[in-house]
Amino acid sequence: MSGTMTYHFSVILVTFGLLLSFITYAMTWIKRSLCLPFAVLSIGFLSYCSFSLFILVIERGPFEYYLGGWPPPIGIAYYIDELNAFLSLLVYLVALINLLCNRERFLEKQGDRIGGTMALYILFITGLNGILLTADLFNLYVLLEIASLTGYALLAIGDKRQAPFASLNYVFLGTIGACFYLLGVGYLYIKTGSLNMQDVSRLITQIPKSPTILSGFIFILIGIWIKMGLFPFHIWLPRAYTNTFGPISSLIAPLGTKVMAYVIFRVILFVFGKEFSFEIYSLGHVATLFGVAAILYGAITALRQTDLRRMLCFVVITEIGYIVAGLGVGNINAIRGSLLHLLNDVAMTFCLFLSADHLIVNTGTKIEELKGVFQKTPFGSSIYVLASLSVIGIPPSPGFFGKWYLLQGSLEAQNFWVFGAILLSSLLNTVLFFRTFEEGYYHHTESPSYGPKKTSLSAYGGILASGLLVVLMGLLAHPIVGHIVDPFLLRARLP
Amino acid sequence: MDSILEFIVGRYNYWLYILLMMIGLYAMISKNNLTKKIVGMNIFQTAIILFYISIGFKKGGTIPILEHTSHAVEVSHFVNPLPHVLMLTAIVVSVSTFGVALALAIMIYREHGTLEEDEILKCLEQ
Amino acid sequence: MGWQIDLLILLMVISCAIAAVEVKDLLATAILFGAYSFLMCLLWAVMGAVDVAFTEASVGAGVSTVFFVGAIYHTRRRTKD
Repeated sequence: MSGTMTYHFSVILVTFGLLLSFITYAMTWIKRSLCLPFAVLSIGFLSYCSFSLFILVIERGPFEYYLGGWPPPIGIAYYIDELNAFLSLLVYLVALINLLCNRERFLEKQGDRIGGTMALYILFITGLNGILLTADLFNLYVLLEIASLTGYALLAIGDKRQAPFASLNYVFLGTIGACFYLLGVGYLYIKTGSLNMQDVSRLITQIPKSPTILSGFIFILIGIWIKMGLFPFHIWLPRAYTNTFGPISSLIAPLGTKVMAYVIFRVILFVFGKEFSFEIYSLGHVATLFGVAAILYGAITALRQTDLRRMLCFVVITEIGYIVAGLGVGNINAIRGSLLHLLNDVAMTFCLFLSADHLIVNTGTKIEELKGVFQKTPFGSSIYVLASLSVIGIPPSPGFFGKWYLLQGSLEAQNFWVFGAILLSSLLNTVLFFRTFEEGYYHHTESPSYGPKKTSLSAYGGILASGLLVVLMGLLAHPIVGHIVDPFLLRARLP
Repeated sequence: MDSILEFIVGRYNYWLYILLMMIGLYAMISKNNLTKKIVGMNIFQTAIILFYISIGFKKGGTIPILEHTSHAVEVSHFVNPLPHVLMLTAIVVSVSTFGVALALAIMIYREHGTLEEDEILKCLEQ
Repeated sequence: MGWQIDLLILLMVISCAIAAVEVKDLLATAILFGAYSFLMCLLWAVMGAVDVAFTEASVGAGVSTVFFVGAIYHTRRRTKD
């Protein structure tokens, strides 16, 4: 395909995503059984677009795409660089694997409403993708709301009867978060008169120490922190992700929070700038404080849980803590570590939730019900072990590399709080996961309470693919740092 | 004294938006009925829309619509239309959020037979 | 002339918001909330944002109220607070 066409993929990803979701719903009117294959095809097409965009960016470097040819500050711009192109590719891969893997379960649970569910599914990933690619602060808000609104609806599809109530609680907190973000953007607009990220960052340097900008900074940070589930603002997260339908949790848990974490980096490094955020507003201390608190809280609370998926939700909170703590330390190695951890975490959390969901289907939601599960489904359990070892940070796994850079960065900055918290939480995670291994491996039950469920080939294929994704991220850690993370840091003028 | 009065009176829109935000937050936090919380959420969102419209307002400015004129126009005679355009989207977003939240409330009512938060929590504990 | 109308609308907006939150009948909440949205739209029309006022009048005051009444029809009308 010619290069000029590939440039347009940056906007096609979003517009076609919106269009295809509506066509998927319209398929219900023709034949309901067409919806799911069509959704798979659409996500496959979008993944292809995302992949060729990624190849283009790697070959020719980052570029800006002007919607309708209007240059900013008048028009909306999309900015595509190595990091967000890669993250967008990961989003589509995760969505595709998850959909293929859980095809039967979607049909079984949502059979008569499959059109609507698939439309929401595509809209959700389109919203996330738009958040990643856009370079316009208000456009980001709109796409954020698209992703959140569809997320609320998807989370309300429940395994348990608490699901709608948990989802409504998320609606309240999520709306407060999004409104705070919008308010912050308003304050920036008062002072700069622009909404384009690059334009705002250029104008902001001319007016340092303005209280209006400071208010905008605080509102935007708190808004995004609520959406990403950082420790004091995390209350919605365990409830919403635990009670929902399994395949939905394995879609939203890895993607939703990580994409918002990317927004934090984008906003701090490319809108406010490093000197501004760290030296004038001393973000470093605040982020370190919140990050360390999140790491410790997540790791300790996870130990108390009896429900497997709820336990994994607290692991997600810990991972968010790593990312924010790395940002708080603020030197190049720590931020490199957080960004690498962010990318790896998408793959790790996805694999963890997908395989844990497989175990839950075969046994039950409680950890003590896992007895003998390793005998029952040796394949799914081994992928679960792989993902858990990666979260703990055993050397060849991707989790190790992220933590390594984080530790190195915190040592260089003499920040022993972060250093200690990461080591301690790795230790606690080891205890946590080995407790589940122990239940699954050593405690045999003579007569399993549930018979082994028949699992289709595509489900096994999906779980295997998610495991392969984790292994690949581990093997390719060096090129990922070299070609994806470091150019991003270089453009942020970090070293 | 005059400057303080000027500070309060001159920015009454901003005071109002803060007041409305607080009313919305109060309803979201302290009300027991889920429908009331949803109303509070919507008030919270309209408060932010009011904030944006106040940004674009200019004293003595008029509606930003141009007749067919050939001569140049003075910018300060018109209010800034950009925040208005942004808020068109925000209104639609707030209505969609309202709709989704009400749909969830109906789901909850079908599940538990009530919309009072304490009764739902009691029902979930069993 | 302008500021008297402004002040009147502002006071009514606030009282409608408080009343909508405090009243015990949810149908009354729906109507008061519709009135709140409509007064908000008047306020924006005064401030020169006619397009926003149009949208709010049709979408905010119109569709929202319809949604709300529909939701109350499917749930319960009375509440304790």
